[in-house]
Amino acid sequence: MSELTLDPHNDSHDEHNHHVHPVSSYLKTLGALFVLMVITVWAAQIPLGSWGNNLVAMGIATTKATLVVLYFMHVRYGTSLVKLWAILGFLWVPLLGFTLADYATRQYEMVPTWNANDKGSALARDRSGTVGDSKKSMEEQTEANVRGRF
Amino acid sequence: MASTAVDTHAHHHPGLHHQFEDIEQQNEAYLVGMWSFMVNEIMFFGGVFLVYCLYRWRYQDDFYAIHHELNWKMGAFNTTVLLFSSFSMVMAVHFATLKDRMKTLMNLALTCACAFTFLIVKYFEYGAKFEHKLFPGPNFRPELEHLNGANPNVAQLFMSLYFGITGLHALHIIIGILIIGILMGFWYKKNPLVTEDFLPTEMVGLYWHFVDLVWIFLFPLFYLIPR
Repeated sequence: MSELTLDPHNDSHDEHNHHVHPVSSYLKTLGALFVLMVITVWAAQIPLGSWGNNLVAMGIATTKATLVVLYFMHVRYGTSLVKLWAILGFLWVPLLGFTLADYATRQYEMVPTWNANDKGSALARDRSGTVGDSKKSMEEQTEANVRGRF
Repeated sequence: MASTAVDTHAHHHPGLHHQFEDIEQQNEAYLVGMWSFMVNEIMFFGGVFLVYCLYRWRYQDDFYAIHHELNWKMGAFNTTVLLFSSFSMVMAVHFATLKDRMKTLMNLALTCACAFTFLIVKYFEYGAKFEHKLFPGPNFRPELEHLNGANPNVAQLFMSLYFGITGLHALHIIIGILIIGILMGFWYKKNPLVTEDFLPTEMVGLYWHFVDLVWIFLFPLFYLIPR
């Protein structure tokens, strides 16, 4: 049971049980995760502007994820190769953001049934008759859009 | 050749397979293999999150309106349950390294119990959406009070993303319950595969923490959309 008190910072590779970490580090991580969860719920109620709120929420989520990866998934105590794999994996997500550059710098392109004033018009419309902004048929809308363009 | 230079004690590790030089090399191979799988999972969920980001960006106001249909209290409860299950999972790994069979089994059982609790809460959440006719598809006919002023088309888009992404996550929870169950069977039967080597337990733990990671992002993205 002496491994229980083993300090992970003083580990060396000669130590056979260097993968045994103190329970207190897990408890602290869990406590921090709970506190961050309460903060993220609380911060969502405060108007900080859409960018402000999004940054706070995603910042807290990223912090929580980092804690889980470092302490629960033991990446902090992992070998360099494991660290490299973990970092490369998560690097993928922010890199995906470059895809958004296309949407940020261009107008949505017109397609025959697309109406700039009708949100979500990429979905089939007037399927039910009870929902949907427009009661117009697809043909009428197409015609209206084409008239609008030329 | 190198074997004489390495601590010979490592060669006698009971969990060591013959193709590996020593237990450290074997552990690293196991972990890098598991991380490769998780990189796949990150790429998979990353693409799904990208779709969410695009539509959320375009229809922010409608997403904000319709997100009130989701019960953030249930979401927060489930977040707490999953965070705790990650803790019980890491405790199972901890006791696996100490070869404490009973405590490992108890913590794995606790993790499974949390997973079932999560699914039961999700069942009630999904049930409410079906009741309010918010499930996307031909039966999407919510009353106006359940649209909260959102455009119906966008509301349906939001619900598609909600059911699609949380459904994929729930599928991962179900698979997690299965593999934790199999792991518990091994521990219960004192299979040397798990009792002599903690790495299999650690790898199941890594999977479970990954499922937790996905939910850490899903919770604010769906339940806490700012105005």
